[in-house]
Amino acid sequence: MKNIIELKNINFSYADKTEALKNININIEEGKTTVILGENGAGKSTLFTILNGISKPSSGEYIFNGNKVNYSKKELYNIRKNIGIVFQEPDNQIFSSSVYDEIAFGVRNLGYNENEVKEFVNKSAVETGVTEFFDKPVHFLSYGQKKRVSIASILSMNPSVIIFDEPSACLDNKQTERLYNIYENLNKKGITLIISTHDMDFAYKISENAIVLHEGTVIFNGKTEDLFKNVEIVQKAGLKVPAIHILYNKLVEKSIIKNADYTPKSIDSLISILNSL
Amino acid sequence: MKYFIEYAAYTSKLKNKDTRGKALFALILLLCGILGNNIFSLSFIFLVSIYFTVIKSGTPIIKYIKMYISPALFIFMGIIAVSANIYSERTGIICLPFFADKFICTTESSIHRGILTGLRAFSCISSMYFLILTTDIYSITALFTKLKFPQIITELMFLIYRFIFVLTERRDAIIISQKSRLGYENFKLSIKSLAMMFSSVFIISMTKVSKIYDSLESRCFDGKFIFSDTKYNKKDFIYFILVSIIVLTIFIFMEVNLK
Repeated sequence: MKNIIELKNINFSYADKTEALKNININIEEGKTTVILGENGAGKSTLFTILNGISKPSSGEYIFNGNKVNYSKKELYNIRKNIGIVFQEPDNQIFSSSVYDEIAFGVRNLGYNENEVKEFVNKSAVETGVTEFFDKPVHFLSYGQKKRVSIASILSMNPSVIIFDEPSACLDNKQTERLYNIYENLNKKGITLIISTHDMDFAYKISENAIVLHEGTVIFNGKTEDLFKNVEIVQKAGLKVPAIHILYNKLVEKSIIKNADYTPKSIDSLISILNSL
Repeated sequence: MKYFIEYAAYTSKLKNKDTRGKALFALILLLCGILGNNIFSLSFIFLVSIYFTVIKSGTPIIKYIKMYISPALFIFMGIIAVSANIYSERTGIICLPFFADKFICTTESSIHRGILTGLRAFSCISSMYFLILTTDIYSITALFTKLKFPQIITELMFLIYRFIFVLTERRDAIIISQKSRLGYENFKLSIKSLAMMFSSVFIISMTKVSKIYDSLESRCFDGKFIFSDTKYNKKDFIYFILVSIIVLTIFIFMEVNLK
């Protein structure tokens, strides 16, 4: 599988000399869903601003699609066109007065004409289920609705990579489930997803790969299933093992089920394994 | 209702009508209001604005009337100031002793002048209310851009408008948080809580600016907002031109013939 993003020896310090990222070496596989895990302050959000070109690393190499990013205006335009970022707090992202114009903002910046803008906006609005409040002023929306609008505003730009910074934070179960469906559809379309979350069940269910950050350094970079088998890493990063992972391993340990061909990542898949017994 | 103006513009029956037409119509009403010098013609302009805002646009009448309360306070003070004068002897219709041998009196002509001033102010306000209660801020900004208004003004207007709501929401949250911890319990605490709330809102606004700028940059923002209003319709534009011509004709007729 091709790596769409490669970071080599990336370091980043803030103006107050706080070292947010130290010697980061990661690869993101194209078309896969990768979760970025870690405690608050581990450097996840900083990493995202580097991936989108908002922040420039103090040192190291950022390679996107096989090309080294040189941070020229043209290069940054290309990065931002191809890598969309959905910020954690929708109010920090949404600035337009109406939903339609918010979604259209990025597409208009890409230079499309108004008919094309309309087409892209409609398409992404349908995917995220926000068409019903198209003309609504954004401050009349609920938190979950704002979240979906912020996702639609990135989808409309048709990026090949989408970064979600803690997408399920402050959402109820219904909204989280709705988000999950959106990710599934995006994943089916071959879009590379990079998601940071504190919800381990959600992370386990949705991702193929995981990267764990701890105090600005990468302490794990591999398959998500492998991560939760590594007790030391899980404890060091303050993570919680997903309930489904514990349950499945317990069932295998007690010989109630044999090791299945695949590791169940959701209750539904575990139930189907149990039903097949 | 909170954010009534936004709500009214969003639910207006005229919200999808041509922005240029609505702005032109509002401008004609405004000019008539400023130039009008006749109680009948000014009342006519005021009534036309009310008709289009309440009947045609569907703005709730009670809320609409409430919108006049604040300006009415200032206007009535203005009317009093225009209608009353200081005289050294009793004169006119109403006369009250002021100090020493001076009197505050109103004459028939000064009352007429006061009423004209009041009506002029209400006509102008109602014409602007028509525009803001039927058109959303984005369309107004897009129109300003189309009319080649300086970019810095349109962009500032647009961003400030959004920030009003972001900061209002934050202010409300801070006040609730303060009240839950005995803020505003007495005068001294109220002053202290208010000062803390203002400083907090100021700091939040600074951090919000930086975060929103990141969000703009991440979506290929190159320093220039692209405003594009899709609500342009030739038929609607002609409709508002015709209505404007009719209103202007009646207004001129009243100005010339009714005294």
